[in-house]
Amino acid sequence: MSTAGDATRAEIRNGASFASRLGFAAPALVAGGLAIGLTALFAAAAGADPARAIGSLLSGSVGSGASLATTLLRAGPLLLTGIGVMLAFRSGVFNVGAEGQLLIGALAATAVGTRLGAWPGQVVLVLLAGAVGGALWAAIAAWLRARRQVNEVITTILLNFVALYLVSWAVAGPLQESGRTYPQSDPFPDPAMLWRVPPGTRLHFGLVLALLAAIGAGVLLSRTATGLRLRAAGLNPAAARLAGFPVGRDLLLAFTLSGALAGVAGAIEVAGVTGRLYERISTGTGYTAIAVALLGGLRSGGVLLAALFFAALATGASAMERSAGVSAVLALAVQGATILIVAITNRMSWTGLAASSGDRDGT
Amino acid sequence: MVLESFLAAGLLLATPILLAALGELLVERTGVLNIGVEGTMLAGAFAAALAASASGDAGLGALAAVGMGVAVAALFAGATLFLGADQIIAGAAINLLALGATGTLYRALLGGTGAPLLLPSLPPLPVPLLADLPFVGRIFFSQNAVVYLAIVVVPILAALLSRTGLGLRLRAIGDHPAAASSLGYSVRAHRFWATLVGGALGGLGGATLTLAATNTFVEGITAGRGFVALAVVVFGRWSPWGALAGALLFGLASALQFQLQAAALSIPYQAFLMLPYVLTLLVLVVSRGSASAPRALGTRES
Amino acid sequence: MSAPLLEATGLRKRFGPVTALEGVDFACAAGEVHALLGENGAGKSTLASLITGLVRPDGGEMRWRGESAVWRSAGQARGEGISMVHQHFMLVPTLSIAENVALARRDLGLLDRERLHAEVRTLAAERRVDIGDPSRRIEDLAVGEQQRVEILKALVVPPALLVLDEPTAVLVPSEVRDLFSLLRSLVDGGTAIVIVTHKLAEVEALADRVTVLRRGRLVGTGPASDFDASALARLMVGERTRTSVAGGDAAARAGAVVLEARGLSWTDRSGGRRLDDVSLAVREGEILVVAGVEGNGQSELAAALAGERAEGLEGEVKLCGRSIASPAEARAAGLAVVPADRRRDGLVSELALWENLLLARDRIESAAPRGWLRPSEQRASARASLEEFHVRPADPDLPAAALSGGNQQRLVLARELSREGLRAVVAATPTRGLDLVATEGVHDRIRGLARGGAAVLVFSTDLDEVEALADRILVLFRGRIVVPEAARPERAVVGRLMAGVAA
Repeated sequence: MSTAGDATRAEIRNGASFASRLGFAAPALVAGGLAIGLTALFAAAAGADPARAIGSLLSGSVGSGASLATTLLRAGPLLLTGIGVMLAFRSGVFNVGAEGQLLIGALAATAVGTRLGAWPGQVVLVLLAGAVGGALWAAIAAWLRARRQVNEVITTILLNFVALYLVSWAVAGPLQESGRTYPQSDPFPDPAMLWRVPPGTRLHFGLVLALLAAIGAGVLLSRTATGLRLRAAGLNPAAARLAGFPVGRDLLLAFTLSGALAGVAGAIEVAGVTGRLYERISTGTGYTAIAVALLGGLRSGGVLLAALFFAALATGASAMERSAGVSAVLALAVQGATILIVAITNRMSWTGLAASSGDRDGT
Repeated sequence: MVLESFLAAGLLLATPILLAALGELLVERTGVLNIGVEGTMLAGAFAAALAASASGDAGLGALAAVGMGVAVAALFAGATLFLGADQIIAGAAINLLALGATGTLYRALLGGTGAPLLLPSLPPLPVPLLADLPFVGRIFFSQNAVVYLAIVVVPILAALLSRTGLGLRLRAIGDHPAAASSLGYSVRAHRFWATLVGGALGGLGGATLTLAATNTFVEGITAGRGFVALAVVVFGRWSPWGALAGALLFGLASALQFQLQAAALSIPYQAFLMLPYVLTLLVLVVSRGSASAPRALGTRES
Repeated sequence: MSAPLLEATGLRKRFGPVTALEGVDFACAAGEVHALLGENGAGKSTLASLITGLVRPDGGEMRWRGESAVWRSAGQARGEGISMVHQHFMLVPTLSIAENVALARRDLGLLDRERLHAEVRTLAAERRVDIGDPSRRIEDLAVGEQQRVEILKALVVPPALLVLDEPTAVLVPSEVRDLFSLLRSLVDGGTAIVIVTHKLAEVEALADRVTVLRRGRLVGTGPASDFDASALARLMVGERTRTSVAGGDAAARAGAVVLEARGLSWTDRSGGRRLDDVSLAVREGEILVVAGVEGNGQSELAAALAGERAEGLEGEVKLCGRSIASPAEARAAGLAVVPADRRRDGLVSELALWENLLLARDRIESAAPRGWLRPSEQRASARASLEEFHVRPADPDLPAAALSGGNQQRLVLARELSREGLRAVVAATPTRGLDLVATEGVHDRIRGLARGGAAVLVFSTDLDEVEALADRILVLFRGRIVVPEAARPERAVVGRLMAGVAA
């Protein structure tokens, strides 16, 4: 009966919150161990030497300064998009369009970086353009949901594809390099590139930004009135509306903030790593971000660890492909299997959000 | 002639999406949200390629795809219905798993030579007499068996859901699982079987990509069609006829893109690639609303 | 008592940290009505759930027709002849009446709508349950009609034991009489009936035997004739007694109009006129009670007064002279709202109690004037507020879902009724789910708010509450306001108006 169900559910939630108090690190650590075991298993199944595969996976991801740097460079955009997804999901916004928002962010950043000359401080505007681009792309879906009641899961998926083709067109059209040889943009001039932090390494200021975003989002959700409003609207929009909260405005806020973070992820990729825009600027970062956010339990600390874990796995897998002859896409299978197993053992849940995904609009 | 071949191509391109969408629709009507359709289709496409290239028989390939779809769905159902994993997380995990596993195995088993894989294709089966009809004969009655199957599933599924006691149970479980369970129906068992059937259709949808549309397999061949199928379910408001309309819209837009590209206008080809997605978006804007979603969609058994 | 049909001994059930039942014995026999009496949270619903297989006991033994029985599911218990009419109806809202009955009949194959409708009509006639047109969707029905569908479902196969959980909560007096005569005819046919209730009058009117629970334990059982009403009341609440203060002393204080509705009309999507030209005004210091049976437009009117503008709503709501277009504006103008469905509209079950206490615009603004929450301070003030309203357990960090229904109601009241700068209150069935003592407490507080100058509008379905609170009474029937001739008409008159009988 109702009381029975309530009590059981409350028990589960208490359990969950107890576990999360014990340590948001747990899922990521479990995942790390699992991933190593699964890689060995899959590598053996694909006909490679498991010990060698694991060896190269580890040394290739965290074993040297260079590999560690690559891992961190990969983790930056994953963390930014993952935090964006976390913010959206906690607010009841099912933004699965981080990929598209990242792409448009990269596109806007490239326009500012390569088409407006070169001047001191340009990189600030580059980052800003990324944020605005991502936010506007997200705002399309936000507007459709708020004003036309169109489910954002669908619109953001569709917009991902549109963004992909927009980038593909831009690098062969208006943003194509002056030589018009390859489908890529001109290189960013120096003042449009991110500062190296620490200097002399490949690491850049964007990683600091990502870390700040993670902390900021955590503080926003748990320590501010806005955060409580967002969480309330995410869990029970009817109650939030009756409480007199500006539900419609908050929805727009969460959606565009989430898009802005993904847009910045795109900007730091072009202005921090590649220095150019290519068609394949994102290797599914925005999709992986969903897994990162969920594996991180929709908490900042967890998302940080999950982003590092996914980045290390991807970097290590490339090394493994070179030295052990196992395809690097194996990393995706390992990620998938790890998430599945962690989902089962941890019973991670955001069903509270899913349950209320019905009508939650209005002002 | 141009119109005929355009429409016939549209129907063929709509078929994988239609099959996957119908499967997902059945699953969602019982309250389960399986966003792993993309992975299910991909695994089905790969199994079809593997079996068809090994046996040289496209029919066996399609069969293998169905089996693979069921297996992937069983993994999802086991994790969510029996082991308590969250549906969204498990679905996302299965997409990654399928992408990684098919990619790795493809390179290990099929793609070693570097030469493109050429697969046997599902032969067109012209329906006697009807295929000779002007216009419609070429569009509807000269397709392969899976296309016919997909179209036949539409009225069957519609009737099952709205005109049978079993359909009533499935809808009750999707809208108010506690009520169904208070009458002694097993929410879990119904959801389990629905998920397996959904997986079979998704796998078969994947097979049509390799065995009918392209006759080859490449990594990530589904290219987001599973997500489009999810969109089509919402677009069609959880009705099989609506899903048919959505899938056809998408298929026709894709076919139109090929036609327009072939016409070599001075418009960048990316504009055509975008077309199906933009059109679907526009239709969603005009039709608005998703009030008909199953009310317990995505929630755990209660 | 003849040989018992069902006999349970030493039943025990815990939900997490809460003990719902401890060592409870229970028995019922064919051909008698057994009333299961107790306050909210006493364990009545839990016991009913154990009997009907919805929940499995943690300890104790059950015997059915003399043999040891363990229900693995509600379906199994149903197969053995135990049916239940739930307080929260187990109807699929998107399906029609006939389809819900077909589900209960376990139909599997093709459904011919015409034939199904005819069969359901026949079944309803045979079981003497009036359900009207069986093609109507459940969500378009009034609550009383939904209950009859629920009963018809339970009677598809005539059960040996029928359990009804609080069946009269949503019914008007005349509907209660109909229900009781239906139940009596079932008993005469040999059915055993267990009726879960906290209304003493129903025990007197219907029960052959009575069992009283308090805080999960058995405190009394025996033939109903052995207990008089005051003895039952003492058993239910312990040694506390009820004091009643009549309302009506405020007419003199009433001042300017604070809350006003003008010409509110609303037609739902299926064309039903849910509100029909409703106008009312509540003055400063006044308690206006809108009496009526659920499903006559209360929830729609309450929502409109809280500032919700449903699509197609006509008319105007004014608060302190200003027109209100959203709940945010209503809150800003000093309105407190106790929604009828607290779990849906009043709480966020996943959030902690202290966070739930901030779920009102003015509260969160005063708690976080610069946007920063200070959780430790908030927890401390939440604890005080929870203690004051007797929310148990008063642990600010528990999620709201961990509370029982009655305590959830107290939580909402704690947030809404202790606000500063309150100008008006709209409270829908504010004491539903509360026991006698808590009800008294809430009534006192509402009177206190009115004395402090707030304009109070209470929706109530309970004549006792109407009498206890009202300075003035209006009746809502089928979306229309009926104005009694007297400001505080007699109980019987209100009852007749609620039932739509011209007074």
